Amino acid sequence: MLIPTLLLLGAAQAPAPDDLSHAATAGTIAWVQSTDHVELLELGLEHPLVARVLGHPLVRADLKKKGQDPEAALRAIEAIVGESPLDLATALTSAGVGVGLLPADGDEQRPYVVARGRELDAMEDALETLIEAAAPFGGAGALPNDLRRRLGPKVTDAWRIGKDGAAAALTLGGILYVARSVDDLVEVTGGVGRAIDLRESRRATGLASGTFAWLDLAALEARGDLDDLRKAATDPGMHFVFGPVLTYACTARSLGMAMRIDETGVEVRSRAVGPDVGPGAVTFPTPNEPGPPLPVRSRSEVARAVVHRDVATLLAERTELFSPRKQPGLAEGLANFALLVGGADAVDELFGSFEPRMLFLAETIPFPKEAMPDVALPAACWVARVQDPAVNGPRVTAAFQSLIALTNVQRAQNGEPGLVLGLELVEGRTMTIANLPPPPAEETVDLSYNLAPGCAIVDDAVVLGTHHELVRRVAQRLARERTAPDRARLVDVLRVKTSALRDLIVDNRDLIVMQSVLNEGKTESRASLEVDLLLDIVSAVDTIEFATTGGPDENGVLEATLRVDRTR
Amino acid sequence: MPPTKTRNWDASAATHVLGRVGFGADRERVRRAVEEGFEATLSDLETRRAHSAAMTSKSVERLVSLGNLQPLQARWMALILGDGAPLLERVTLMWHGHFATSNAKVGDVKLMHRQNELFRTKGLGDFRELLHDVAKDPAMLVWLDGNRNRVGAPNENFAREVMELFGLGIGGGYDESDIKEAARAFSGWTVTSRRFSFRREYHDDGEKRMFGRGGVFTGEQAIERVLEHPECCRWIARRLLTTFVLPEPTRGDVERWGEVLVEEDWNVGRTLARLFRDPLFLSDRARRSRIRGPVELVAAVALATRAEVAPADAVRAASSMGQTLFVPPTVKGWDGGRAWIDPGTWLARHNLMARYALGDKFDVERTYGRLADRRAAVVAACELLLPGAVPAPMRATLAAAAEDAPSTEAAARRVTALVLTSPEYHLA
Repeated sequence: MLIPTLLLLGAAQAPAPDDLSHAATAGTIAWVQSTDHVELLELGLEHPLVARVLGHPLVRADLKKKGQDPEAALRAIEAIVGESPLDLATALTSAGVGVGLLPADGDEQRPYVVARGRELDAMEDALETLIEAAAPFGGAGALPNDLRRRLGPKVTDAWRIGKDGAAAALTLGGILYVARSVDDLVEVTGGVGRAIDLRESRRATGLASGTFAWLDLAALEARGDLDDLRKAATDPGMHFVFGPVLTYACTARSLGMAMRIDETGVEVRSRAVGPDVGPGAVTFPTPNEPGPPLPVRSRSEVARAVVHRDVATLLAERTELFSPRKQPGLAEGLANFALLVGGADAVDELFGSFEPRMLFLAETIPFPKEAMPDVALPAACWVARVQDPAVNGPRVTAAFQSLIALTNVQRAQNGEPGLVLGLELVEGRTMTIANLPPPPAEETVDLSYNLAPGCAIVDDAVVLGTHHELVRRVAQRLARERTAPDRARLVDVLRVKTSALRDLIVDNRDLIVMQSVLNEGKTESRASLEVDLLLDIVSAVDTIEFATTGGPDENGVLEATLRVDRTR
Repeated sequence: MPPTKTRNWDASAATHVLGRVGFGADRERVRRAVEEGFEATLSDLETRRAHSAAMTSKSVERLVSLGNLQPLQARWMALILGDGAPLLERVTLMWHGHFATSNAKVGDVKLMHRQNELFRTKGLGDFRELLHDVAKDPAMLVWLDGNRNRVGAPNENFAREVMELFGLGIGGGYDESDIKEAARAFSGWTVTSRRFSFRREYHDDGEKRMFGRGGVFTGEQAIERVLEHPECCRWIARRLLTTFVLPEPTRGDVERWGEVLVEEDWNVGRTLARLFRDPLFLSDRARRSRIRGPVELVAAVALATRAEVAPADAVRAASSMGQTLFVPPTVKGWDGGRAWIDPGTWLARHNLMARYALGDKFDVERTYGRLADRRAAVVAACELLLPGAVPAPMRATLAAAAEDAPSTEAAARRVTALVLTSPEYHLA
């Protein structure tokens, strides 16, 4: 018997809530904790998800290639330990497990593990079994008294593990700590409860159970690990693509993320605290900013994103925000754009007339039979509110028509047929459309036939799209009825309906397989299995929604939520 | 007299045949070739049509519809590396160099694909038919401005290259007036909706004189006149000889094989069949006389070592060594021969070969089988990569490098890197 007599006053206490964040020590720079693993451990290879993953031909092929057999591996461990390794892990971690990282000691990483079982007796038994089983691998035993005393009175038992000086301790609260060394163990158990930011982040993310991760970005920055991330926060291109919340989250003091998985899907919430919203913070929405005109949803909708992108301010501040190298290109681009809009100042008079909250919409559309592209993509359009539509609406229409004309010049130089401009009336409003002439009957139809652009002004809404079919639909819907704006605090929100994505993958399966073979050197059978796996995943998901909230307050909090809903 | 199973037929000869008629072979294929004999090996290379179904399916058309050159390049490389139709792909590469057309100007992947398929379907057939088809190939017409050739404003580019590069060669018995007259004959040939079309209103109807004779009215007749020229069969024979046999054939070689081409009714496949069975093909003059082109080099290494290399990576590798598929540098194509090697391209070859042999894409056991010791690594590398062509000092250097290696696997990698970066390996 290697374990000394246990004096555990906490044995009769009720288990604490499944949150180990209070067990993280001050100075922790990274932390991950979970209770989601418990069901996996309890059911082991019988768990439906595990069984499905292990049963997938792709995984089976990989395991076979590597000569691995999870069942045999578990049996082998059981033969050494004398009990099921999954049962032991369950006993030790059924109320949660956490892994923390202390600041590195030179090149040495300093991880530590915190675990708690629901049943203290079972936990003790599991520890006893493991420590006995450790004998052939360098042994384990009670920590000498002098070292044991350094851990303080709350520790009921402590052990050394193996030859490398690792140590473990069990506390009164029934929490097991394992660290790389006795010194680390002293630091870990001594500083418990002082990781205040971490605990606050855990509380504020608001998901009561599941998986939680936290990063002390300021500490990681001091180690030089975040140079690229910090730089990204000042890149105007990043602002434009990812929006202000995600971009400024790169400058935060700390970042917490919580994930919850249940029968309805997966939810991930992130919370960036203390962002450095310095110069360039020009793209957060103001409280009363009007939302974009929102057409009612259609059944063929693939994706809808309402985002805040203050292009006019971004361009007005371009000399400050963009690098000198990019200035000539920007100036040239804006001058050319001014020509498209008949000489008006592109920044002040055109971009400045659009409200910064805008809608991007993607829907599947029917293509004309004679010009059905070999690879048919969903149509996309952009909708924004324009001020003084009587003046700015025609400017946008003129710019669209000029752009088609310029495109035709380029196409003519390449010997390609030009886009044919046309006008249509939609709900009493004029819509400008452009089409490529139909390809000869015997020709396959290029990807370029996905482009049949359109532009319409519906009251104060500008609708520009890759396909006039979608522009027409959106214009009709906007003219008849508009939906209420999204929740007010949202900065950006993106919603993707995966059924259309699934159809796209199914329709283009052969191409995806071929690209995988050509670009990655995979065999056809492997590439096919990977597409099957992707389809399985996509089929299991109904919608994906991503939303960001927050504002440019120096001590503020930037939040993002990702919600993946399972197919019912 | 061609070799038989017992005469002049060994691993060196088999490697030569597998690497010249096709792009190369692994250890097992060489062993099997030695066992099966010259005729069976050659016959397999000539007739095998076992391309991967996916790479020849309807999906290829959809891939081309995406409009990017890179997948088309990778698809061709996949056909080469797949080794499903060795001679066919070699001939396709040869005609791509002969009728060099670049997407840099054509700018239409679909047209490039169509031209590539033309070389694949007709490259081993009647050259006369091929020349007629290439002359009307939309990619070619765009590439050489044939589609801008109109009566009163002739564009001579296409007519010039039909003589200078495609049919007769530089100094092949024609002059400027022949080019001008041919250009008149081709006037009105153009491309509409990616198809060849003839615009009568742009055609010069008058009679043209070519090579001292009148009676030419149409573009087709101009092509026929080029084919009738005595230099034409010699020019094509030279192309076959330099591609498959030796870089600098004698005038006698060229004349003889030009006659064979005519005897075989201009059938490229039958002419090559006779060429491969001629003693010249396996002669000392022919062996290790050609510098491998980048595509040949990449394919040879990949096939010999059974590398699981992504075709797109192989395309990039060949490109870095000076041969970008579908983008030849000029209308002359790649000069080839010694022009493949300059300080820049040699450095690229050296680095790529060394990086490959020392990296994780190279699987020692898959290439050589289980190696007993370091000495076995040297023997295996020499036998597979340079059979019968490793001089004693080189073998000693390889042995010393192997002895220094920390393990048999490391020895195999070192020796392979040294062989692949040796000048000897770049000759085939």
